[in-house]
Amino acid sequence: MSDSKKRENKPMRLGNAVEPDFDPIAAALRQMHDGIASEPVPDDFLSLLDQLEERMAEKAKKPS
Amino acid sequence: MSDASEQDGGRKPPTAEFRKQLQDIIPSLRAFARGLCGNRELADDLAQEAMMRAWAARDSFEPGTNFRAWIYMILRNHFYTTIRKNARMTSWDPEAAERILVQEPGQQHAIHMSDVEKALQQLPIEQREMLLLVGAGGASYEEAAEIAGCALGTVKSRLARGRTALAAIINGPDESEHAENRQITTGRGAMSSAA
Repeated sequence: MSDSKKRENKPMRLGNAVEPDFDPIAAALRQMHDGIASEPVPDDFLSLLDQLEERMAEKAKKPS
Repeated sequence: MSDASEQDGGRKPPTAEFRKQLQDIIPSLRAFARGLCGNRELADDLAQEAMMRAWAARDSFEPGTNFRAWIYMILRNHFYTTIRKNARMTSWDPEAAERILVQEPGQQHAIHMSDVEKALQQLPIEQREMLLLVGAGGASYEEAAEIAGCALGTVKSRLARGRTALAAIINGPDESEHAENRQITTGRGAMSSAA
């Protein structure tokens, strides 16, 4: 019994983090996602939306 | 393909609203794409292609349903088509190596973001996408199942296997046992680990 207690006190590596609520893999995945998602959106994404909208408006104007 | 959709009427979502949804999803769409292919430029191409396809197919989107799942599905399908044509599409983004690290105070071993990103690219795509959808993007199991077109049980098992494999790659194979124990305790359908 005391043996297993000792084992629990040993510093743990990834997959057995010291803080039970902290899951390093989950945190890393979230951080990776959030890091990319918080990058400024490149201009060409917005110009793509403009183009798509313009093209649609032009099409709508044409009587055909 | 969608010429008919240009006509007014029907249940097509208003353009401005649709555009806003598309615009709002760009950051997470880019993140999902980058996680899938591991390369910034390819990922942005993928995301833009998905946006064009979504626009062309916008009258097939039912307003009020899950827009994220819908466009992720489009991106995913396009990604799969692309890698089938080009087997060497996945590659490691060296820029990401600059980004460090995940650590909680008091934790002995930090994980480097670069290790995680590299390790992700070594996983089978089916597992990688589940980790990206649920682990990184915060999708529910149900949403992930919808996006990947698979059963809930498949989502869970891919997720569990992906986690274990990811931990094993990052920590080295000797740690895979710990990782396995952990994913069992964090997984919802918890099973007790064999004694």
